[in-house]
Amino acid sequence: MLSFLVRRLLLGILTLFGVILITFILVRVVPSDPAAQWVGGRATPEQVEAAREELGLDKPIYVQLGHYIRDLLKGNLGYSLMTHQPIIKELKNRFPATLELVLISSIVALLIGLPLGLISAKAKNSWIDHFSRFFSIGAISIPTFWLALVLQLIFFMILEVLPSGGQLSMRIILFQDVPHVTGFMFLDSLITGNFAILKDFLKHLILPAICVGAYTIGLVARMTRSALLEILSEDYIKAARSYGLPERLVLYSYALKNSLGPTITVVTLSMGYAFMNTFLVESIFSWPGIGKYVADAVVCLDYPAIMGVTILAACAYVLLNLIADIIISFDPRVKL
Amino acid sequence: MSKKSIYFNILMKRKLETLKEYLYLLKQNKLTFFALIIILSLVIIAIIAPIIAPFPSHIYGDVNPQDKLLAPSRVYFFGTDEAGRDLFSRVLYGTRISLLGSLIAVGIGLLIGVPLGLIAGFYGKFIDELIMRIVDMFLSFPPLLLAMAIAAFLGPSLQNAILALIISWWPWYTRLIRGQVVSIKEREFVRAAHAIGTPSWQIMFKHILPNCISPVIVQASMDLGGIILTLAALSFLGLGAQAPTPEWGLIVNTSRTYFLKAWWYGVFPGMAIFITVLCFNLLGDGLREVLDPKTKKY
Repeated sequence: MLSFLVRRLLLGILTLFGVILITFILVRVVPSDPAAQWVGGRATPEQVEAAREELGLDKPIYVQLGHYIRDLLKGNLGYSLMTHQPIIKELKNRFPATLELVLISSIVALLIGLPLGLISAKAKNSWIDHFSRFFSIGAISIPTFWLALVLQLIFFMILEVLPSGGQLSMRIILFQDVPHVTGFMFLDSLITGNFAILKDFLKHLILPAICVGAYTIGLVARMTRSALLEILSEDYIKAARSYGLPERLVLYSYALKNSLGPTITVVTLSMGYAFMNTFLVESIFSWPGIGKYVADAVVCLDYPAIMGVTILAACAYVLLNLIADIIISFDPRVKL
Repeated sequence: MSKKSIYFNILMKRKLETLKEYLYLLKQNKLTFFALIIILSLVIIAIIAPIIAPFPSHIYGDVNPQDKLLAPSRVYFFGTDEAGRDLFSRVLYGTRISLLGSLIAVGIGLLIGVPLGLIAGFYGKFIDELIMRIVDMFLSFPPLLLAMAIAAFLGPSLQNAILALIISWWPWYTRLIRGQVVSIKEREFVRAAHAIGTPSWQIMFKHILPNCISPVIVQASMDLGGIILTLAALSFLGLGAQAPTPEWGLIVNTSRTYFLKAWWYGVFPGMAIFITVLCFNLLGDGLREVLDPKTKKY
């Protein structure tokens, strides 16, 4: 067990190093002249030279890599070309909004996707199975950004029941004291017992959450179905059934218990997908999170900002997978 | 007839039989067959798009300010955009860009990923460790993120977006094939091939590869859809095709400014993405059922 943990941790560190290496290659090797990119198109040759020295680009490549890693370890992701603010600071400010959106939509997606996959596997080839499979294939095929626009059109323009974007209504931002305790709007309004704000926030949350979670629902339902079907064809399930145990018992306490591994894989993967979807959705709904930051950075080709988000997200993803592997390793059947 | 050509005939006949069997099974599954028909029609549309488009000159450039943002009508089936261009013609032509882009990305991804997976699984040890650790590095980025970063640094264009997709996609095939090879290489027919002195590359490509290709075919079919979706997403973010290319994702992106007063502008190209991706996913799902001996049913 311990040796597995140590090995897995070392592997995690190795992977992180790989991620840093890939991003380093992207930042320093792919652009023909990173210094020119840094100072912009209208700079004089002297300015480019100065930038080259400032960025350490005149040093050998391994020294540059060393500096790059040193900066990252210090939490220094560089400065945004657009706002000239430290990127890490801007990301920190925007992190709660995105995390809130990702978590809530992932939880809802799991709450819908898991039962859907379960019912599907339980009643294989019934009409409900066909429906759920078609629904989940539809959910992974729909372009997230298009779904966002269409939902906005229907619920904001035509039905006029939901707001088009933002986290809170203008009238609340202007006339009410918006609580700021943790930075998470949902928690803040709950802690301070401000239900008017909570209600307003939830109304603003519905559409972005659907868009962020749609892909995940389909993914979760499909993966749950196939994992369960595999387990249900195992010998011990056949044995349990041949004893005449009630189907409920077979399904919930024999099959479901053994699907821990696949379920955790599903959770980590769905968080990854949900996070990526925020890039497409947040800017449409003016959600003040990291996704909108990225979309804005892409529009004006703010390279350091794009890279900052890439590194942070990749590190978080590696960590998430590490945690998932460690949880799965507690399963006594897993060979370490 | 020589002995060799008789063998060849028997072999071809058997292959034809299997193909017929698969086609029969595919036909049994109505939804999959339907998806296949739509995909074939999309391929035909992609090929003849400039001929059947009612306004071929509207596909690229060409501006008719007097017809801007017109609602769908008998003249303009999908309406017009802010430059007065016929959206129907542009969406039709977009089929070519999306299908071709995704075919290139998946094709090259397979060409890189499959041999590497074969080598890693077949030789094992150090070379396996090396290839798979590199694969792990690429796969440790959340989906889309790496493609986005690469596309941004290469400079936004359709070609670079496709290149970015190739770079971030091949490791999936390597991992998939490698897992298959590891489980197949200890089987008796492989040992027998070793025993009679068959060269390694021949064992890999002639004996092992055909036995582990079905999951790859399923994956590739789903990926054709997945890459169309991702390519559209990159274009939507501004990292893929650039104006005036009639790429679906890009059209949806430009439609955002006018969306609330001209719903048709974004709805139709988005629908095209949705239907195309849906069909590839349905096909992949159906192929999985047919190719997997566990779920195959007559």
